[in-house]
Amino acid sequence: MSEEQKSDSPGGDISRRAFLAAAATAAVAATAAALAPLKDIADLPSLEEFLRKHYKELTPADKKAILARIAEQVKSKYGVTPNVTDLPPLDGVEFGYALNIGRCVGCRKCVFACVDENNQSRNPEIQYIRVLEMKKGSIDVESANTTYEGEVPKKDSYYMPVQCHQCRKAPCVKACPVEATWVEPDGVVVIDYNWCIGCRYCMAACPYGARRFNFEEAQLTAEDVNPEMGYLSNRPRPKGVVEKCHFCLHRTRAGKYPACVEVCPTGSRKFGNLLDPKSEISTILQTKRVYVLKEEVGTLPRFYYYFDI
Amino acid sequence: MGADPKKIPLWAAAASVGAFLLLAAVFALNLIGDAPPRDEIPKLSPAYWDPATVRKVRKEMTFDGAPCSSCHEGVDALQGDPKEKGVFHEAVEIKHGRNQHCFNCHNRKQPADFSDFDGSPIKLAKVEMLCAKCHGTHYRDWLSGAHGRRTGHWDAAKGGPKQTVCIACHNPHWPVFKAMTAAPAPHVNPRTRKSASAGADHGGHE
Repeated sequence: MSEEQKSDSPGGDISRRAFLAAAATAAVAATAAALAPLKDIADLPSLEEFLRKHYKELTPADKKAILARIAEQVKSKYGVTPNVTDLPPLDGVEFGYALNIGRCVGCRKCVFACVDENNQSRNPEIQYIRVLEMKKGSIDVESANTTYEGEVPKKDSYYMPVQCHQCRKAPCVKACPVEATWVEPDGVVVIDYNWCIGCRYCMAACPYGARRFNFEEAQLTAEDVNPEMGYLSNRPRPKGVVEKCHFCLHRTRAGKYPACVEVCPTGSRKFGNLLDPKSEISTILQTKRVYVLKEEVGTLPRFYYYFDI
Repeated sequence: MGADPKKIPLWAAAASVGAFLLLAAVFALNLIGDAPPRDEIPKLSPAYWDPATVRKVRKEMTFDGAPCSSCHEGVDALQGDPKEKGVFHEAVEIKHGRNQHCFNCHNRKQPADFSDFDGSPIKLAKVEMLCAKCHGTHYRDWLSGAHGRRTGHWDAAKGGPKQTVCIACHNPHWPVFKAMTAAPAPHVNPRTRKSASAGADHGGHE
């Protein structure tokens, strides 16, 4: 038997026990080397951050402590003292948005007003609004051009900006396994950036491509930071969470227009209270030819497109 | 085979332990290297989100700083061919459809004002009433908020919206918007850029 064995393995044998010991040691060394970059993680959550409750279960005192903690984190990271608020939804208000495709010229000012207002990462670049350039006479979103440059509007083209549609039946909310995103009473789909686990199911579920993922921590200089921050809206997002348009909640719940409405040079962007029959948004829905993007998917958006020329 | 199950051939043991050690070396010395560096994205210009209106609206009607009345004096209508009186308003380019005549809008007798159908003056402060003479549907929409820019507050309880007057966006002599320069296109991730058009065209999935 030993004769046979020798001929099988000319280099000799070692015991299984010795082999397992050596292999396990080498495997541990390889694992340790592979995991070594983890020692550079600086922003591990504190214990109270780790043990906190879901946003909807927070008491006012909890919220106050969390807002103070966020303010401190922003100050230490960016050197700016922010005013972090969490404005409650207003009674009798449901936000709606209308965009006049006949007037939009595709200048992308809304895109950058949004970036400036909402502390979006500059590099890697995150933008909530995509402006689609399409040929007049067709609505083929798939073949739309988003990278046009230079003078606008281009001949025979029209422009359709797309952002979060704040759906009444939001697929992203259904997809979220941890309830980190939900519809607020005023109709805005929000994300708790501290509750999001970064699985990106919501991004796959969204038919409008409206959600963005923070592959890296937002790169912002102190002068980029907008110190007026809302908990559910524009506070700086950590790495590994999803974000999207939230109708500038920190502005709109204070009665102001969103940043994209403020900046639009052609007045194509319209915002208001759907429950107020005299608001501009209600007037538009009553009197204009209104179009809903991907109506067939049944999301019932609060974002409408309309024509009047 | 007849090999002793408690023994492992040395070459096999060395190969597997060596593979682990090689992996450890690859990770520890970062032999694979880092991800490609991020592209430089030029710093954003504040002009990209400048909320200024397309045009500036003047507070009063003047020409080169001088009031209209310094030339167009008094209440008498202007007479004769204006071209014989010197070069003044030649720079004005009129591309307002069929509306090609100065006094369709400007008041013949009070040149600092505009003219209603019956010749009665419309003040600069109420210039929307001049445009409403022809563009009634747009005036209606402007009043309701469906046309034109609104800034400030959507909430009437907080002060309500500030309307933007017609001529803050439209040049009355050339009301169609001139072409604008678009702010930069979204940056496309280098990893998706290989399939150039596919990566660029999918709004938001890069």
